Amino acid sequence: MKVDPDRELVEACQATAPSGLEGAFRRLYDQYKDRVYNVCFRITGNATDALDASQETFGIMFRKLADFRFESKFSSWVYRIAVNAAIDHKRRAASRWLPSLEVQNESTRPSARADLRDDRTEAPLHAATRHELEAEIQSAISRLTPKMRAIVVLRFVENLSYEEISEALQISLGTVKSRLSRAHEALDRELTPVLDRHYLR
Amino acid sequence: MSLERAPQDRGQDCNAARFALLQRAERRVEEAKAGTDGSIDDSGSAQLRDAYASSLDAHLSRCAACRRDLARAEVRIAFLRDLARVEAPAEMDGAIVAALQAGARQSRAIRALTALTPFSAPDALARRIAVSRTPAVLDRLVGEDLVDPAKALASRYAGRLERLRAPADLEHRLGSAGPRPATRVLTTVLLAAGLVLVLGSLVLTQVLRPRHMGTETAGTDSAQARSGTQAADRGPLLIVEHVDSVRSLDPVAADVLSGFTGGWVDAQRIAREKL
Repeated sequence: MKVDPDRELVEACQATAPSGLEGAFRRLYDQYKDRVYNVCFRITGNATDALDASQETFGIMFRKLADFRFESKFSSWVYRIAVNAAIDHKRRAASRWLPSLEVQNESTRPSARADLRDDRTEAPLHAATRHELEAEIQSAISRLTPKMRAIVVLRFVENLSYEEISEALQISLGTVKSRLSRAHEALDRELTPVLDRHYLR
Repeated sequence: MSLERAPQDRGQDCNAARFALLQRAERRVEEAKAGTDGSIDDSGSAQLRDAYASSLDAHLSRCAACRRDLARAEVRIAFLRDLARVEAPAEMDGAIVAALQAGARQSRAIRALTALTPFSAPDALARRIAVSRTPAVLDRLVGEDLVDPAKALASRYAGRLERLRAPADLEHRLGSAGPRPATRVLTTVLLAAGLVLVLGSLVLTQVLRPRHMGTETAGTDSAQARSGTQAADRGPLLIVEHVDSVRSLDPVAADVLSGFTGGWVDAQRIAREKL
């Protein structure tokens, strides 16, 4: 069995009394904050809910870290918490739906920040098309069921293997495959007209 | 290349190849991103990680719909993989620190509370309980609660509800409420008609009776005519006179008739006189 790459750090956290975001836990947080936020953002579909779900994820991590026994990979455990927190947050948000006050401006739109980091110069028209396409893909992901959404995000956004997804979501490998296959069918229905419009013009 | 969707139910071979096809699409996207050769008819078979590579190739070579599916899946996966990585915002650090500190404070408080040595009840309390007697009403209330909690609660609170007095307005409304308008109008009309009939009968009786008596006595005994008592003793004498027109009526009778008809007879008479 492979050694968990995070084992040393996690054990360091477990050895010290919990005292907020410092020491070993801070290093763990720095290592996972983008991954957790990314998963939460793609599942919830907006920055505000993603922040809340991420906060909840790290809160749970902080409280339960002492009980973690390395029965699965630490990263799988973190992903499981993040996925559950995001789905739960999304469900709660849907039950008390209010129009979001968040403005999709250049600073909150993720791809905009990606553009700023991009060294290559991108033509404005191309960038606009890409933003539009990305928004439509995100919207298609948001219309999937929570389970399918989680599997698509872990597979294609976080690039986890089927085995890692199976461990993170605590489902069998066969379930991962069938669920991914169904997610593909759903995305195919949603995205074919969109991709036709963007890809073929 | 067309991304047009193929029909979903295409046969057993296509359904069996569906997942292998997705894996193939994923692998090709990975290869393309890594800069390796990812063409469909490369040497690929030997290097393929999916177990059904050769049978998939064979199926793809004869199934145009699955080739289209593969192309579409590649494009879709490539776009999904290209979704921008989102960085955690700067404010997340502050939010997490605050949440963890709050959590830590809560944990410390819980630990401190659970660490407190539990007090044991003093012996005096036990003695007091032993000698104290609960009031009978408390026993009854507790008994009711145990038998039927919902009923006990309802009766207890229903008994406390304020008793309301009927408002004065209700009495006023009931006093002014009579029969419905249509009934009231009908009653009024019938009463008026009855009254008119009675009055008319009385007037006719009073008007006609002395005149007939006078007519009877004109050519007979003058003594009888003066006293009139004998005639009255013989009973009322009614003489019916036929007239051809209203103008021939006795003036008193004409006035009565005019009153009954609401002045119509007078109007007719005036109209004739003008002509």
